[in-house]
Amino acid sequence: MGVAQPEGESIPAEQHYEQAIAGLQQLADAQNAALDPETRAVLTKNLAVIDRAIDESRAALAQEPASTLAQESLLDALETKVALLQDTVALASDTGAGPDETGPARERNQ
Amino acid sequence: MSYAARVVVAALVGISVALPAAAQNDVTERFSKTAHLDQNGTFDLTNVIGDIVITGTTGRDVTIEAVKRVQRPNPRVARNLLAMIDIQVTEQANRLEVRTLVPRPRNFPGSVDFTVMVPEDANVIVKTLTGSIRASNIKGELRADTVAGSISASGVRKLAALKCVTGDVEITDAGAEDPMAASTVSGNVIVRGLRARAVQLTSVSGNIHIEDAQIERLMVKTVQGNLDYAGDLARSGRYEFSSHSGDIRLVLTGNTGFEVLANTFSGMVRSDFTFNRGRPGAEGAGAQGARALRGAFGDASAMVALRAFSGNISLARR
Repeated sequence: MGVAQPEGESIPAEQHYEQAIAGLQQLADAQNAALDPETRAVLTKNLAVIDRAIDESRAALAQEPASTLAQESLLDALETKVALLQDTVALASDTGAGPDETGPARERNQ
Repeated sequence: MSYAARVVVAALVGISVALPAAAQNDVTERFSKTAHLDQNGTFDLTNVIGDIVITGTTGRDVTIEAVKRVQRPNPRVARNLLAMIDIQVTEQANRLEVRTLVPRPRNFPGSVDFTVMVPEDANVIVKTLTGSIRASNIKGELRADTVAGSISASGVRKLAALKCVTGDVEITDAGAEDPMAASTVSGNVIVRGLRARAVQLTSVSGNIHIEDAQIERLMVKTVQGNLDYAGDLARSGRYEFSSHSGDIRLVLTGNTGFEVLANTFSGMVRSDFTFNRGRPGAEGAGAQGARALRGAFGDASAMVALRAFSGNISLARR
């Protein structure tokens, strides 16, 4: 069973996730341009899905601070966000940044 | 707008629809290579854009057939771009590595489709950025990874990891000896026939469907998708399903006894099973409409944990 949290206070693990998310988000934002627009859109959309889950869990915790289920849902969602941001950063690194010199812009010059 | 003007606009629209898009020159080049792998060798392919079909077969040969393709309006540009696609094959220590190299992987306007036959006992690692992966009849370990594309694994005996971002993962008549994982971000995970000890299936917004699986430890997780499990449970098996807003639905034969712990924050829990020592949850046990259910069926040898936030949970009898 989870330990009831005083209203307005975050679960201890939540702070660790938040720190990880902040760092990863910064990296992801910096490298996002390396991803193709379609993949970027899918990742952005799914991060929004996770953010909604985080918001709903937090709202539930605000109403029922002792709810183990809401706590678990929140931590699950935060963990999923960390994993998706890690994947985003890894994908961007794999794809490689920099302008595409072989695309239409170069073709026009030939 | 005057009638005449409307006729002119309509005519222009008609012309633009009737005209084909800028004519593309489809320039292709075939690549073919045969190599050898001893027993339990490893085949490792990294592509950039293009589909991969890989099949296990008898014999020790690896046959690699590839088609490089570039589509551009200007044929000279297309040929120049085609020449930039390099397929490198490296053989060392019972390992065969194939790499597609292009100057700039991002948005390179060309693709390479691979059709590969490997010895069926080979371990296989395949990766592509854009494109689907289809693997079949592989008895060695399989790892497959694509960003934009789906993965299909059929008749694979040692699944290890299947991962994609925008596509579906489909597993059919497969197995795994070691813990395996399959994940997608927006796609679905579909499992039909899987024999494994420990399996982890995840998606963020996709659905996960499992039927006729024999799995000892199963963890299934999604944020927004629905989770479906149909079939039997393993004796002493451990099953964990969680979804934030999706529904969780288990259709069980009832041949294996199980203990269940089901909770949803704002959805509903319902069950066709009659539990013989149910303990009341937050709002009653086993009763339709309750948000929590805890009980045991039969010998309670398997353990099932179901957790949703706003999704519904149902346990039905097959």
